[in-house]
Amino acid sequence: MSNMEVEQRIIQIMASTFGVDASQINSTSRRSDLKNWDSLGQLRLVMQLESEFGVSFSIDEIPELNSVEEIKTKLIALKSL
Amino acid sequence: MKSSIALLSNITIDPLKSVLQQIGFGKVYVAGYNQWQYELLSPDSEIINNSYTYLLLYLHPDELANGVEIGEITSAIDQFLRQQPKGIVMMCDFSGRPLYTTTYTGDALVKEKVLNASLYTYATTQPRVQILALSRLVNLHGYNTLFDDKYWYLGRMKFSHTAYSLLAHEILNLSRAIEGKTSKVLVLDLDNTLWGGVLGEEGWQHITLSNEGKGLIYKEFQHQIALLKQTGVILSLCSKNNEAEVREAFKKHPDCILKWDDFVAPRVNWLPKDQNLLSICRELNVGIDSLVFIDDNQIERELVRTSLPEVQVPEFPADTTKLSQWFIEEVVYPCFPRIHFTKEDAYKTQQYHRNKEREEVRSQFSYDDFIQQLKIEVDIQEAKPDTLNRIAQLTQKTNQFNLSLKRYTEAEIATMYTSRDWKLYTCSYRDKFGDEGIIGSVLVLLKQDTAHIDNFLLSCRALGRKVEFSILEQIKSALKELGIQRITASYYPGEKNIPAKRFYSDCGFTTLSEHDFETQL
Repeated sequence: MSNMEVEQRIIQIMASTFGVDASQINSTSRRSDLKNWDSLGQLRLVMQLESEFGVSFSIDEIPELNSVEEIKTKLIALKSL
Repeated sequence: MKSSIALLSNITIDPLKSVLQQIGFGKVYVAGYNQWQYELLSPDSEIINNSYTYLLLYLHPDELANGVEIGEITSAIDQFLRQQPKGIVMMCDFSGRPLYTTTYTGDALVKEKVLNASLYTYATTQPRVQILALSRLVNLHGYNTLFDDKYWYLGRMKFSHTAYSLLAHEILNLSRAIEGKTSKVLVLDLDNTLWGGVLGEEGWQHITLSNEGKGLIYKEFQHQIALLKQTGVILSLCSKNNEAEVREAFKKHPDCILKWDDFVAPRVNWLPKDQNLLSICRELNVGIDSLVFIDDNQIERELVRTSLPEVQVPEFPADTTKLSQWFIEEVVYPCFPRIHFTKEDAYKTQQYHRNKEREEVRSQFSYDDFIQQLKIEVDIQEAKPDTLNRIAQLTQKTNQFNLSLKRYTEAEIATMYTSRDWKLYTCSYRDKFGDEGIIGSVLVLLKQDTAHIDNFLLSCRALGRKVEFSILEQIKSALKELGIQRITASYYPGEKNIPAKRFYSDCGFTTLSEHDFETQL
């Protein structure tokens, strides 16, 4: 999966988790941009990302995933290990 | 209409909401964290002020206060049921983490077993409470698959991503069982499905079916199918073979558990399978959406999926050693879920065979002579505790002679039974070919000297014998004895009950409007 494809997949997962259209999210979207991205939304998103990418974020990493960019960087790092 | 559901728990289970909505539930309400007692007890709570089709109550035993008694939980449920007349409670049984600091079996395990024993006993006494057997999922998939402590520390959630999906499907299957939304007919292929190998090439002596090795896979699979037949599922065949050879195999093979007579409307021929499935539906007088089709051949499955999308066509396991487990998990639970059986279920196949004999006799006589010589006896009886399941089943499954199309769960029928405003009647049928048991029901709501027929139902197996007229006469006499002077009735058209449209007017009722009829006694 290329970095671009990872980003697209993240955006799709975020759209379905937060119940918004994927066109409202882009590579610069942050937590403060999305209404449903609250603390519960964060866990629902992480759970979905872990399941779809087959990874597990540590308890320290999860609070640091606050933007599409941060999620992408972390996912690419985990997948390349 | 989509079912609504409220979710109550002592932990956070919010992610279940979107999974339930994805698989077809409508409104989903998630109560606040650990607000289950408030929701059940407070007159101001959401679930007491608004009715939901279902209420899911999940309590993780490790988070229950120490020394909690099952009575505190069940009395809260009872109090809720008294305040909210609608909805069924799905109570999850208890499965805690199977690791204990103290001893190998730990006090917590003892507590869990005791809680579960009391819970299951309680559910048998309360028709509006059904157990959702989460422990079954935990045993099948493992605690470590269903629970993930990481989310507990981050947000008071315990279930894993996998668990939400499994739990949602379990809720869906249980709701289908409660609503009687089950398929009716299981249509089976033969070669490499009910036995290994190709009968036409190898001969019945050499097909793979025995007490050993791979032969046992198919023998045990046949055994599971035979058990399913006992629950009222009709079996049929759709196989490209020569019928004479197939009959011989069923008759002579010592390890063939299923017999030719276990199947109704078998289609053993070389016609395309979609055509055969349609002809099975016509012969059995059931909708195409009542069929489940099992075939090991992917091309046949694709043909049926494409040509008849209403038929359920489960994938077939690539590893045949998984056949029995796959059958229960992927076919029985999703397609034929049940909470109870009725006496009529066990004899369903024989009833279809007798109907076929009747049809053969029918072709020899004029229609009236045919009815005459069947020597039909129908009797109405007031409902009894052990016939309530059957009444609910008739409201759920009857499509053709279902005059108001009102459908009820067992719990609703049980409530009507205990109410003085309702009279529920069952109708039994016998003729010279045999006893068909309860084939109809009439639900009557009494108001002073008026009786309203809320619904009048007759199983499709008893249609076309004019018994509905005799049943209505008997109902009229019974109501007259109760001092009733006027009967009202309603008819609402649906997809399949148009032929019954004129029933009340044919019986001498005055037509008040499109839907309403009345007669004086």
